[in-house]
Amino acid sequence: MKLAQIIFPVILLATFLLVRNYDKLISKILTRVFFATFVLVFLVFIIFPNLTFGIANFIGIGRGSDLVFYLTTIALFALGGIMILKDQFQNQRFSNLVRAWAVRDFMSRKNAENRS
Amino acid sequence: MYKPDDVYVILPAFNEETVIQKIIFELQEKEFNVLCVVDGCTDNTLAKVLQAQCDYVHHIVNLGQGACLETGFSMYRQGLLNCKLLATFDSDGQHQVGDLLEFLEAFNKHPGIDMVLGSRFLNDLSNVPRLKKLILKFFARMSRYTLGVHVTDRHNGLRMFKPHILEEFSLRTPGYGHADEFLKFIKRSNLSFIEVPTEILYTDYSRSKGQKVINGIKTLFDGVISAK
Repeated sequence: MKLAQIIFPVILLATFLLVRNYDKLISKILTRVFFATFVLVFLVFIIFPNLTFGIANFIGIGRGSDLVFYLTTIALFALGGIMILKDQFQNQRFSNLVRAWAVRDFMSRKNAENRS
Repeated sequence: MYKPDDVYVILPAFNEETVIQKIIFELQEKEFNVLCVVDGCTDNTLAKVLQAQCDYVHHIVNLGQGACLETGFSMYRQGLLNCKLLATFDSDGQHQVGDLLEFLEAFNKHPGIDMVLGSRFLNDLSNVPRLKKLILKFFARMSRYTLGVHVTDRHNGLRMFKPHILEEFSLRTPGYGHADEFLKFIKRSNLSFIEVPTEILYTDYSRSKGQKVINGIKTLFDGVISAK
């Protein structure tokens, strides 16, 4: 078994768990660390292009471009997941706002009925 | 002994002008208390609900069925609904008021239980479309492994429960995924429940309004990705 066959599923699983627990502070911090690391890694790859080939060879992928492709795909998965979750959180806040307004309206109607 | 007037039925309604009054009248006739949650309707549903003279609350924009139920629950928490039991009921005409009476009967027979869930697969009264039946039965069977609760109908919106459970439970899913949230809570809090056979009426109207298979996939995906 090649090293890449262990490393990438582990990174993918870790990414999924980070995204799934995004509402926890530790996950928010780790996600930022994760993205900062990705940016740094890509910077290093741009400055030292031969490094991708060396790492890819070491973990058993073969081509440096494949390594970059795998890493980019994982980053995209994480980004997509976080966007969906952020959307859910925003929807939740919006729902709370609409609900508060609706309940307030209900209460003022009931108060008016009781007064009349 | 629980009676119908001990129950508040939460009735989420989105563009149901053709059926909503009939449902409210049927519920009122059996002496259930009704809270209709008018969910950002663009038709005359609100006017119909006003004419029916039941309690209602009005979302100015459409939020989804789960959000409507949570509005009802939050009103109970704020002391605005005085009842011993709460029920959730679809407003597209699929659910039968008679089934709610069976639920009450179940509570009277088993006073210790926390919740009664409806199941369309415990009798043969519901004419469930074949593909839907296959999918629903598959996901019901999977619930034992994915949610840790064994039910025969995982996505039946007809349920009745003791409102004390709302002290620790609130719905986060705005759409149709709320059924799974109930089951997760049952497992987490070790609630006692029974399933009671119900009839789901599949008319052309209810089919056009009901949950599409594609929505089920979205709900499933959201459930997997959702933060805990």
